Amino acid sequence: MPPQRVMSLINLLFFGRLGDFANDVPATIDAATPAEIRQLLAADYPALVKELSEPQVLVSVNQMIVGWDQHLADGSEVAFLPPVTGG
Amino acid sequence: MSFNSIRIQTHDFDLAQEYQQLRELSSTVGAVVTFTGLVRDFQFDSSIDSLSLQHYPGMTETLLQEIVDQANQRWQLIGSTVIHRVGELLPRDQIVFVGVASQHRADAFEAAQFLMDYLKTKATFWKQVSQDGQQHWVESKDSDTDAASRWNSKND
Repeated sequence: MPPQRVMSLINLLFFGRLGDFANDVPATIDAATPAEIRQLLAADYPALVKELSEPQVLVSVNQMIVGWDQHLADGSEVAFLPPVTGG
Repeated sequence: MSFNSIRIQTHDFDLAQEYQQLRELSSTVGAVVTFTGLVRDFQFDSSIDSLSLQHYPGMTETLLQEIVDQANQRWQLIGSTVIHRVGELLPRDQIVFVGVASQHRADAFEAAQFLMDYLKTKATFWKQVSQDGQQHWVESKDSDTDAASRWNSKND
């Protein structure tokens, strides 16, 4: 039997201006890293992925800021965060 | 252990009440510094209709707690309060409050500035302006990043 890749269902959140580009994006996706999520969305959501590729955009996993290569466990919550503008 | 209150809320806050709470924390309080931020009624030289504040529930509270913890490590504080409103706001509404109580004024002054500088650049809030029937997201400002970065070279 070939090794089977374990499915990781990831919950996606897009904040601020990124939300305007993510209206039709599914709420969950199967991916191993945030970078892979970006790759998987590129074909169907080029405008969103262009925004996600801006260097100021941060990514969090389960509400912790992480790198784009962070390994994702099943059920993780991944959020894409544009520069904050509170205060 | 110092007193810390972090609140994210849709409703308004009362400056006098917040000040009073900090003032009454201890008989050793010798200084209370408060900052209140208001919704400006113009952007790009034209007046705005309203402001909508989005945040990341859970993460915002965690990040604000980290910022408050850092302030407590850097300065001698008796207590602090951070309030940020979310949802729909109108021009001239109160939007943010930072209050710091300490024994001596330097700690309260500096910690209040630090808390605001870090809140503006690190806490997960996003502003959307309604103007002439159109909505647009507010862009982050380099001046805010510069204001926050000045604390990196101090005390580290």
